[in-house]
Amino acid sequence: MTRLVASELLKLRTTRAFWVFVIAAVVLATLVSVPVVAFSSLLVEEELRALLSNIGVAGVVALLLGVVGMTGEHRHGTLTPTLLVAPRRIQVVVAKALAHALAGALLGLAAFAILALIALPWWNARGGEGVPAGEVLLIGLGVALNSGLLAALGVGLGALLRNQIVAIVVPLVYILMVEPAIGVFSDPVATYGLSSVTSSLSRAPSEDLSIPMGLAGLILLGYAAALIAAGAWATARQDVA
Amino acid sequence: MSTIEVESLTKRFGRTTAVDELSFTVPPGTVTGFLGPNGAGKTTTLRVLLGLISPTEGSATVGRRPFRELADPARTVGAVLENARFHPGRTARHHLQVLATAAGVPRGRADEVLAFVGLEPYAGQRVRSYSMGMRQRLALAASLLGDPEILVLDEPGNGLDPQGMRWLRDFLRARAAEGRTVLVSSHVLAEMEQTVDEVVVIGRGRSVAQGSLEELTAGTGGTVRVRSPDAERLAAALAGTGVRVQLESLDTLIARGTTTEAVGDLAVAEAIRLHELVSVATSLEDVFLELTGTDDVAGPQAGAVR
Repeated sequence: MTRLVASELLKLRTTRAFWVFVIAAVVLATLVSVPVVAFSSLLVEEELRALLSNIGVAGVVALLLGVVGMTGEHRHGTLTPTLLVAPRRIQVVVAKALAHALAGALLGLAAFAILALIALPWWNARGGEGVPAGEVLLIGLGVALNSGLLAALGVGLGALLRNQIVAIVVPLVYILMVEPAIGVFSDPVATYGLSSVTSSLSRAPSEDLSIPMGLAGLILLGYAAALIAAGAWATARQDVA
Repeated sequence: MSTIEVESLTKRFGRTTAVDELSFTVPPGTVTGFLGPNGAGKTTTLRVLLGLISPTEGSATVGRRPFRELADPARTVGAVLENARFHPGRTARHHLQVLATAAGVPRGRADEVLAFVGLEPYAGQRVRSYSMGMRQRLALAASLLGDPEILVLDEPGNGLDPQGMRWLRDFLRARAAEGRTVLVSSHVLAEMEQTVDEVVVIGRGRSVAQGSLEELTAGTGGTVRVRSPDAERLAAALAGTGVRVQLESLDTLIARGTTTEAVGDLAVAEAIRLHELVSVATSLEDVFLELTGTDDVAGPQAGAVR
């Protein structure tokens, strides 16, 4: 298993895709932070906390990293050589999910670090209310966990759907349209759905929907585990061209 | 330990039966040719053997175990599949390092196998820029990472130039001489004739013949070339005695499964003039055509078959 995870990490490092995703996350962090710290008129603690948590959206980039990592194997036909040296497919999918969890967490952490490096000194310079250092670290941890789990979830989804375009479009449509629409009628979905869980995990301030960070982490872990299990099961059954 | 056994293997894709009750054994110390026309089911059989697709019925095992259950697959079997694909943006060296890591082989082995197949100067190039022959060599390099006891090669001649093919032939012969197992599929028989000891011939998913190359070429009888001004009449007479005849031109015919004596005697009996009567060495291709039926073979035929 260790070998397979190491092999998957090497796969990530040796194509450009991973670095493109990292750059995307960093650009995203800059775009999120600069307008707020530059123009916000509410220089209160709550506003800064919201800004720091907002980089939870890097999780979506991490999710797509996982999706592309797994579906790329089908798209480029590279699953075959892997299976010729490591034919136990469930292990291959789980190893890929673990490797992407690590890569996703690093990506989230990079985005958060950039955000914090831009926002905190600037905010200070404008005389804004600070956020306790412990809380900043906790948000950073939440963002990293969120990105890591979403990347692993993306691997599971990619293994299940196989087609790269479909596996990119489905979660985006779900997150942006389906879940918000259902959430209007259904309190459980509004509270325990992906959007609420991910924003709770990255400690976004919220009046009513928020659940404790630890619980949010466990629920997201559950979602990721379920999709990885389904994806691994599907991969183990299918004929590989 | 390193014997390949295929037992009553059947694989259906929907209504199509790609492999039909196929059985054969590949012993160590030989190069076994797995031959058949395109679409005969060779690749499907090899993919089942390598655990990539599941059999509908029957089994294909390596040392009595399914490939997916091997303790150390990369050191047991190395495989090159037809049209091997690679991530276009990854370099050859990285491709091999990724596989070596997954296989538990030291990463430095990547450069060894690259040098062995002659790709060392291009190791740092992204595979996108590779020619067909270079990709074939890279796939071969990958199969050698674990220095496996068994090599399974699907149509390795595709994309290799004549020198490459010759190099591969010598390499496979050397592996077999070391007591290792080699199974190599092909539809190009000329390139196999000097390579293989044992032959498994399939057509339409079924086994048509198995045995050593000598047994097979002996079993079909000789091939005779005849030139006669009455070639058509001779062809009809020969066909009447059960000989397979092919008219090559207006005055030349090829008779298979017979001898020069038999053809000469028949010509005298039928009062047919002969201008030439030659025994032609039976090639693997003749055996193959005989066994699989010419209608299975792609490409234009030299003449009509009577």
